[in-house]
Parts: sequence; structure tokens; C-alpha cells
Amino acid sequence: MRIEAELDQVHPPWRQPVGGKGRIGIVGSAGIEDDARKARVKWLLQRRKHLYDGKDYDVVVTSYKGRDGRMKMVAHPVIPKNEHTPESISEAAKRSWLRPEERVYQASVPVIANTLRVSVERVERALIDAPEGANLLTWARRKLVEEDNGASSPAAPTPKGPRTRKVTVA
Amino acid sequence: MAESNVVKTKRDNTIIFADNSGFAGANIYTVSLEPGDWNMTAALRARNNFLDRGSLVSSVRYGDDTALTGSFSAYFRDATDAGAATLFDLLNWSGYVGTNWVSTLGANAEVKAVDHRVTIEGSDHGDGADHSITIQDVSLDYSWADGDPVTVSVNWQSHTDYKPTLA
Repeated sequence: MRIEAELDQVHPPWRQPVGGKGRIGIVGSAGIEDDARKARVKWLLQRRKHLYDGKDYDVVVTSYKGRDGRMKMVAHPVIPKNEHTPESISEAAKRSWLRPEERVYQASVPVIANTLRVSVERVERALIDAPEGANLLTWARRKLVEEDNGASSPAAPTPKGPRTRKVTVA
Repeated sequence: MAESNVVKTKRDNTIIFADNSGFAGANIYTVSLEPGDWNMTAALRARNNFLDRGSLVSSVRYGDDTALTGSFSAYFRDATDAGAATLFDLLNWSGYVGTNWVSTLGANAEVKAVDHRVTIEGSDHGDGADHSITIQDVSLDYSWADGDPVTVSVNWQSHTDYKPTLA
């Protein structure tokens, strides 16, 4: 699996067993000091976990610095809303490998539209220039956010120094 | 993967809210400076027993769903801010949240709701990955109490889920 190969490269001891009496596990992301590397390892482990369950979930890594100065970081999935089953999302993800001109007409479009709660037309517009192999859900979300931001008033307030720092590792 | 045998504590957990754009979207809020008392009540579905002239007949059926509910408390730090989300703005749907967040029940929905998640550290403890508990379409109410420290006690209830999504 490509994810495990990357884990071997980024954090070689990740799969080594740890623990002893009463505790069994793997090294995982333990012992990584570098934040970016830790985020990547956590992202990969989270992706791996869901892929093993047959769920093609996007993953985000959320982090913030506590008052003790320590960076707290956790990887968690982007789970499709209500009506979408893991199977329907896996199917939509597979379709993302089709040629662009075929892609927008596939069943993934209504799935994404429902997930993002926007119209099918907006999703089709957002996906029209999606590159080959892109995750359609991620791409559509980004394009729609860009579109919404472009349409908003220039006087709209922008966040000042966010209290929460979100790190999304590609 | 085998079930983890590492007991988790409040040091492992993080409380997060997201608007309609989801947890990968632009609007997420992570609760910080809180004692770590998040809780959830999952009564799930009513299980109805039927009696044959007073005797149980082992014919149990599901009845009504009961929405997920829960609460947590946090230390009060800030009231409102037009430039960044604050917990109090999230509770009152005001400030930056009122202007920029979209309810998960729809932009025009009367009740303002968000998606709610507790993340649990796992991969630092030898688990295969981190864990999460997600509750969709949650509305919030609260009480505020003066003291040392000033605390906000938040109650939440889902309008969609009778059981959480686990990942």
C-alpha cells in the first residue's frame, strides 16, 4: 500500500510494536518532535485506518497551541453527511479518475452537491477544470469557497489571528 | 485492527465545531481552556416490550428515536468579536459567527446548528490512528456563571442523530 510505503519513509518505526504487560500497540506517531512531520504521519495513519475499512474519507489535521505552549494535534476524517454511505463516497472517489469531460456527468456530482449542500450546477461549474486524479470533493469545496469569497463584499471582516490553527496536509 | 487497550483521559480530547462547510472547511472552532468535562447521553432508540397478558414474550421492537444530547463547560474568555469566532458568539450566533457561519440545517433554517466533534488522541499512544466522535446538526444553549473562573456551561442537542458517527 502506498500509504504504508510513505509512512516507512517519513517515520520508519511507525509500525514497530510497543508496550509490554497489559499494553499492546504500535509506535504510530509517538516520539515525533517536528510538527510538520507529525502532522503528515497522523494524516497518513488516519487515511490508512479508513481505507482499511473501505471508506475513502478526506482527512484534516487540526492543531492548536495550548497555554502550556505545547502543540496539540489530531487527525480526523471528513465524513460525508447523512445520506451518503461509505460505499457511495468510494464510488464517487473512483469516478474522479475518469477523464475530465466524463467526470462532471458522473453520479459523483450529485453526491458532492448534497455533501456541500449546493446545487448540482454549481458543482459542475466548480469541477469543470478539475485536474486528472484530483479528489473531486476537495476540489469542488475549494473552488466554491473561492467563488463565495470572490462574491463577498470587500468590507467583509477577515479573521484576525485565529485562535484555532488548522493544518491540512495534502 | 485490535481494540486499543490504552485508557484515554481528558488530556487526549479536543472539542470542535464546524459550520455547513464541514471540518475541512473555513469555519471551524476548537474549544480551548476548558476543564475537560464533555459528556454525551445516547438513549438511542426506545426498545418496546410487548406483553402477553402481563408476561414478556421476547418480542422486542424499536420505538422512537431519542436525539443525542450532552454538555460541557468552558472558561469564559471573550464575549464577541467581528473578526474571529468566539465560543460566546457561537452560542449566540453573533459577531463573526453570525456574519460568516452557515447553519448545517441550511442558510435559511430557523434553528442555527453546527456539526460537533470530539477528537481523541490515539496515534501517540500506540493506537493505529486518532479517534473521533461526531454528532451532526447540533444546536446549543448555555448558562453563564460568575466566579473564579467565570464559566460557561454549554448544552447541546442533535437534530439528526440518535447515535454518533464514530471514526
